[in-house]
Amino acid sequence: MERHLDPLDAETLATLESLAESTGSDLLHELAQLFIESDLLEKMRAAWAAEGPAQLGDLAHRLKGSSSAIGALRLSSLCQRIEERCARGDEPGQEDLDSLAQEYVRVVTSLQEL
Amino acid sequence: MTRSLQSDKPDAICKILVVDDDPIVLRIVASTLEEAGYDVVGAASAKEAKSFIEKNGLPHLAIVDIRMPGVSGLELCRELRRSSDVPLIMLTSVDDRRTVVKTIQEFADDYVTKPFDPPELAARVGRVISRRSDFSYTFPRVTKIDERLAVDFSSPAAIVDGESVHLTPTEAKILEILVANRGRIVTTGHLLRRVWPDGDVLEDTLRVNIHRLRKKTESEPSRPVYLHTEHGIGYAFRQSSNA
Repeated sequence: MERHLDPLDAETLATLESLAESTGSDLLHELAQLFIESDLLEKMRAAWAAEGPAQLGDLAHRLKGSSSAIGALRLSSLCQRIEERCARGDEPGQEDLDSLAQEYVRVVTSLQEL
Repeated sequence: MTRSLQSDKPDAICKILVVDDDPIVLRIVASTLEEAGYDVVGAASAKEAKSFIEKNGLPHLAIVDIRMPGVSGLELCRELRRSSDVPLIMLTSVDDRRTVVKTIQEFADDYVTKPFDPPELAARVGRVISRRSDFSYTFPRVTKIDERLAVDFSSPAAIVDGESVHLTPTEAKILEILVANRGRIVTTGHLLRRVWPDGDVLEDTLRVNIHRLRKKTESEPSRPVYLHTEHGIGYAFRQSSNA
C-alpha cells in the first residue's frame, strides 16, 4: 500500500515510537487501546440518531483531537468537516458519516496491527 | 538558566498540570513531559483541575485544552489568572485567529494547536518555565508569614491574628508577587505588568489596592510593618521581627 494511503501518518508514529523507546513504555499499544476503547464512532452514531448536532459536534471534536494525536490525519479532517457542519447547526449527511465510519475502521485495523 | 528540553532536565522537579478531556492527549503529553524531567498531573476536566489545586496548591505551569465538557478551558484559565500568576499554555484544536490572539492577550503564556509535535511542546514548556525567576505561586495553600499573619492564596484570604479577612483576586495577586520577593523591592512597572498584563491601568489603581491590603493586614496601616512603599521605585514586603 502506498504511504499516502496509510490511515496513520508515518511521521507521527515515528515520533511516538521514539517517545516510547526513550520512556521504556508500551506507549503505542496503550494509545491504540485507549482509542479503541473510547468507541467514539458508536457514540457519534447514537448522537446522530438521537441527540442532534450539538452533541454530535462535541464528539466529532473529541475524535478529531484523538485521531490527530495518533496520526490518523484523514480521520481527523473528516471529523472536522462534521464538527463544522454541526457548529453551523446543520445535520451532517449520511455520506459524511459513512466516510467517517470507513476511515475509522481502517484506523482501528491499523492500530490493531501495530 | 535556560532549559531547553531535548538535552537539559529541569534543575528541580516542576509540577505540570495538564487539563484535557481526551485520555490519548493526556497520555502523550504526560509521557513527553515526564521524559523531559517534569512531574505531570492529569485532569480530565476543569472541575478536576480545580479540585487538584484546592488540595495541592498551584502547579508550576498548567497546560489547558479549551473545548471541554462542563467548564471550558478558557473559563478555567480566566479564573486561575484572576487570583494567581501561574503560567498557562493552551493546547487545543481551536485555531481561529481571533481566539488565539485574544487568549494570548488575555492570559496565555503560549498557545499550541493540535495536532502538536511532542518535542516542540516540551520545548515551549521549558521556555515558559525558564522565563520565571520565582515559583512563588506554588506556595502551599496557607503561607505563614509570621506569628500574626498568614495568607491563604487559594481562598484567597489573609489570616490576621487567627481571623480570616477576605482578599479580592487582585489583592491576592499583588500580595503573592510581593511575598515571593519578600525583602526585595518590586518596581511599580513590574507589578503593573504582572497584575494587569492587558495594560490600561493607572498607577493609582495599584496604589488603591496596596492601601486596601494594608488596611486588611497591618495593625496600623499608616505605619506599615509588611507593605512598604519605596518612593519613586515600587513596593517591598518585609517581615515583622517576630517572624
